[in-house]
Amino acid sequence: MPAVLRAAPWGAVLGGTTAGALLLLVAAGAPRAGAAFVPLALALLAGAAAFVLDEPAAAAVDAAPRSLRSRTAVRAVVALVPFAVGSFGLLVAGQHAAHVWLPGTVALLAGCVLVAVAVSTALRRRLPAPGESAAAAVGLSIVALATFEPLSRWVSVMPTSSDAAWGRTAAVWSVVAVVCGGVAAAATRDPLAARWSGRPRRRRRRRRRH
Amino acid sequence: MTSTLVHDAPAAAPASTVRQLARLEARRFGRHPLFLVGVLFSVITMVAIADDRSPDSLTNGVIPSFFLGVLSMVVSYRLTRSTAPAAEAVDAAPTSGTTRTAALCLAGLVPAAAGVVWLAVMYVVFAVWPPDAWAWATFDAADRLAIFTAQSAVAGLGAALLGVVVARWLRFPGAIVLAVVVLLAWVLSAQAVAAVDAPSTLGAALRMTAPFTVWTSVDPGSASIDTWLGSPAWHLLYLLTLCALAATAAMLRDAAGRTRVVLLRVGGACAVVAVLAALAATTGGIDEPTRTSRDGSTSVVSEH
Repeated sequence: MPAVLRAAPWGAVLGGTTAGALLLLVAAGAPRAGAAFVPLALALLAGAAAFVLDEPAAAAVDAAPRSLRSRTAVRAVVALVPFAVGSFGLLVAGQHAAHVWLPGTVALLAGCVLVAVAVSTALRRRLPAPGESAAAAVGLSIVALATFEPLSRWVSVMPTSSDAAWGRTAAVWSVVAVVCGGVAAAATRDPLAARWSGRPRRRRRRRRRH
Repeated sequence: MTSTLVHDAPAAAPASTVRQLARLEARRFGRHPLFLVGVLFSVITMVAIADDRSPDSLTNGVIPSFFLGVLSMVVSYRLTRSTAPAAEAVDAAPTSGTTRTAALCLAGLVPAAAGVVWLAVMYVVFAVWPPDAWAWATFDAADRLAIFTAQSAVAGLGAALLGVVVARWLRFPGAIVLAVVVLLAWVLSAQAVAAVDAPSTLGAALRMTAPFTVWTSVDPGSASIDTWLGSPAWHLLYLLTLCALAATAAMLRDAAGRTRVVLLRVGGACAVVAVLAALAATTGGIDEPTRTSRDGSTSVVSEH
């Protein structure tokens, strides 16, 4: 296992993943009453994924000759743990509860995990351990979207049952995925590369004027 | 003969220290971006539903409960934990941990005040766009005030206090996310049990011991509204004792000696009052779930 993966905050990731999986088991055990637990489980699993980029030794690691992008890419693999465990939990819940449509909810879980990692990536530029902030922001947003359904006139952002209009939901989440990819790419770009590409041109212009 | 005049430095009275610290913490709370986002969303949502004619006005309280309550819980957690990196310097300051925690608890009055403002705005909205009389189900004006106060001002205060408790007692990463989800799961499971079996005493007991509850359910066609069991006034008292318990638990973390003994006694008394209030809330109010139709007629709900 690479050192980057060994240093991942496994306690926070596995703790959140376990709590999310437990909620999905409750949703499976109480089919009628447990419908509301699915968004809560998604919030916990996304919250667990938000911790994957936490780096308490950031001062030392950031100075190492390895780019932020490559370190982020390796660490993002850890986010597969909450995704895989959550998918299994949704599989179990889908078999027992009719309100959980497996393909759709697994895609939702993937979207939530992606957003959590993207937010963590954006915060990681300024914070050595962005996990808690990102987990709180993404988790609360997921719960708020599921509770209030602010866009329900046009699209259901967090549906779970098969009778929802999944086409529009898929379109929204596709846009979210593209935005997340862009955010992650921008947040992990090498700041020195941007600086070097701009400076020589400015210098040449100044010489011509004089 | 030489006389020396010694000026004793005026020792700060504990009450004034708490007041000054509380003022600082309240200012930090009021300026926190997450709290401001919560206030903004409360206002936006309230404006969006201002002229809504659906008969579920009694569920409006879910707006401040979430945007002022849950977000304030995160804000107070972060404010409490913000001094953790400077723990050594803070511990050397001439104020005890209990005093600092008391100040953080008092800062919870900020979301409570925001809840009071939201409550006032909602009553103005009700005066301008009055809901139909049947939409209030079997609740009179005092019951409605108790319901809305519990769901706005007390929810804000209680959530902020709970945030301080979580920050003081739980030290693992993501503690606040877990606490929020556990709180929401508790509330949702209580509502779900009551929704499945409205006449059951178990459902009423679960709802009355939850920190948030809804009191009615509207049928899908909006033709009738069911009133669930429970007493709003006793539930409000129960929530207030939970707030006192939370403040006591938060201050207990750093308390020592006589302060600790006093806090334990206060906590014990609050726990007894909370149990009694929850019992009274479960057994009080209407005897059976009641269905109110559009024409104002009422009937007993036997099964859901």
